[in-house]
Amino acid sequence: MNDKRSLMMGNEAVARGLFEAGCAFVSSYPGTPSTEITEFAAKDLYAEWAPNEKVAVEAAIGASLAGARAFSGMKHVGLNVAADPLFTAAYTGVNGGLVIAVADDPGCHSSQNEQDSRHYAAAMKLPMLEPSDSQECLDFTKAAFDLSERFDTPVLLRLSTRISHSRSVVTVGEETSPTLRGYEKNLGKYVMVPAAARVRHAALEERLAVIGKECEVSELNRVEWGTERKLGVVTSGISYQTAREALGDSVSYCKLGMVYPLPVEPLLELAATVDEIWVIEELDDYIETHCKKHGIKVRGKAELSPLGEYTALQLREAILGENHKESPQTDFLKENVPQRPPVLCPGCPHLGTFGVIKKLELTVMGDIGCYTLGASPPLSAMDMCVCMGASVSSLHGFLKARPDWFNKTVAVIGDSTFMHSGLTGLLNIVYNQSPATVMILDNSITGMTGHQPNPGTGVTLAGSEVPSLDLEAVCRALGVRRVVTADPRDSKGLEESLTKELAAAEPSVVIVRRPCALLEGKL
Amino acid sequence: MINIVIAGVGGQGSILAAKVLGSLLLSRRMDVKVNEVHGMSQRGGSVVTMVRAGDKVYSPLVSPGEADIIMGLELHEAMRATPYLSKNGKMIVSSRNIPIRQAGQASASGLIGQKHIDALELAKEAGNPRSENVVLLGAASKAMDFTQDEWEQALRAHIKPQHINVNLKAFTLGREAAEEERV
Repeated sequence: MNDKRSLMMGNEAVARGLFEAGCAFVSSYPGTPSTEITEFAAKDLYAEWAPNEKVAVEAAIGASLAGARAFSGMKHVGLNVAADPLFTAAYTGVNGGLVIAVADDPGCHSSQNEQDSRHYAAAMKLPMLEPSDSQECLDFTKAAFDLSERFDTPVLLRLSTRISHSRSVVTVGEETSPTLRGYEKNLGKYVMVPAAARVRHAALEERLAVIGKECEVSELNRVEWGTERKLGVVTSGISYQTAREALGDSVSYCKLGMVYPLPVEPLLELAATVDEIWVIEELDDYIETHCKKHGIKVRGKAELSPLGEYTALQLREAILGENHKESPQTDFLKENVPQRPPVLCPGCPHLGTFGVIKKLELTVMGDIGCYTLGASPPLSAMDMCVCMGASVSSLHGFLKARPDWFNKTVAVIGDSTFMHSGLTGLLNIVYNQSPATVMILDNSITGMTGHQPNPGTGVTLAGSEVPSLDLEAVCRALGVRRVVTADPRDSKGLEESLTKELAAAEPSVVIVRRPCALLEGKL
Repeated sequence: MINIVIAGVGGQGSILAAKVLGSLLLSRRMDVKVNEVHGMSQRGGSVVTMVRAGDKVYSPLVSPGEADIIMGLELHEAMRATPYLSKNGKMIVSSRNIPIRQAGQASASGLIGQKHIDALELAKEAGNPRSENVVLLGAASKAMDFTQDEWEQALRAHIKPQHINVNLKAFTLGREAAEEERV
């Protein structure tokens, strides 16, 4: 490619950054809007899908300990799963650079919540960078590895849906060949028993103070002076783009590329120069709280919503007092053109499954995947959906509270989600004995995020053929005595199996197996 | 500043159309941003893709009233996107009607008050019904100031060699339909 200027999706640019930084190991679990980072990375370097985000991050910690630059990318709720190792990896620090990308989803485009992952950076005490376009996705990924190794710390890279899935102009740099740092056994640094952890906590605090000083003068943060000195804006990430779009060149912007730790000097400089400061940040009042803590008077969440994404018009209304009433046409359209929500694809095996569930009028503990769409009308065949694996664990609790519902209540979970977080819930059902019936919808792929292979597929991200997980054997090994397999195309057979297992007063698993309709014949 | 909104249903090829437009605009040394929809919303749901170009583009999102061109790959979705249209904006709309479950017969066609292009039929004529997105690009090309060569280069950058001939034909058929003022 002669022209180094190209249009790249944010996720692709992060992957390019990994390549240019000489990253040698990538392990992730798919999750919109983060998935493509790992898929693009797999084209240029070693990358794999792990069964869940905790495993992925722990694998990356291992690669870092061994001396390689390592990475894991996940969606915001994935960071909840991976939080445990990261809180303590903050103490141990790294050997090879370790960078973790977390993609938030303001507006819940493809998620069950819109948590603000910046709080994790503060809670874990890990530096967090936040790019605002694809070029910064590339540059900040490289900067994150540099920070990680210079300060001996994992570094978080915060993305959001509009950053991950927007294309913007990128000029690529040179690639770096991966190198392996030397490995030295170091009990005090890497073995976090209490005595060592106390020492490392102190080291963490010292390190943070140094990073905080660097943050004050870091080029990752900048003030863009406007043509007037009336209004100032403090912002980061996609909100920076929306703010500039909305408010134009007369306003001065303090654009933060590092959102943990946060600087004070550039904010004081802005406050000393402009009449009034707004903090423009989607979701929580994270930067605003920091400003107030340092005595900087700002306006923000009292007048801007903590919900969803901001639009340029919304900001003009709130900040400039403009009035952008929705046109009568918009009202007309709302009434006359009904919403077109996502639906299960034609020929989807889950349709057969939910047909039977609906016919039997079952109470359904649901889970995360394509089959969550079974909750939509006209199926409406779901009673709860919280997080990966919750269907199995919650069914147990539900039946302990309502034992007589055992013959009309099920858990519904996909194969990938079951491997991610369902196994332990099933173990609990066996151990604490509830007469639960768990349906594992096995389409042999991670469907919703775009057909990523998983341990049940028999193929890796790199395309190697490997042994596939035997779900029946795993369930039996966990102690479930009643394990049956059914075909969702055979409604009668599925109904019979399901009715029989529901009637049984002991744990049972119904594996409903049929490849994803979009992939049939391809696998 | 050029603002284009592509409205369609998941699976209709909005993203490919946006990629082609992105390359085309980038080749003129402009700043370009493309906003795409991936994930859950792709499962047969509404998909709005946005392409913006100019000296400097900040937000990847087009605001209501800003779109110079709306490419509607489907009637309901084209209608839903109409608030994006600017005063002098142009709508290029396929007559494709993908029914919305549980929707009444809110016939989309009569409400826009303009002619449509039968992109699906022209795509079939070109040799592949899936090239309806490229038919619409061809129709939209009439409203934009790029040479045939530039379009062809942009198409070739994103379409596999084995599919390029069908798509070039689809593009030409769309362009001709627009020139005959069938839209």
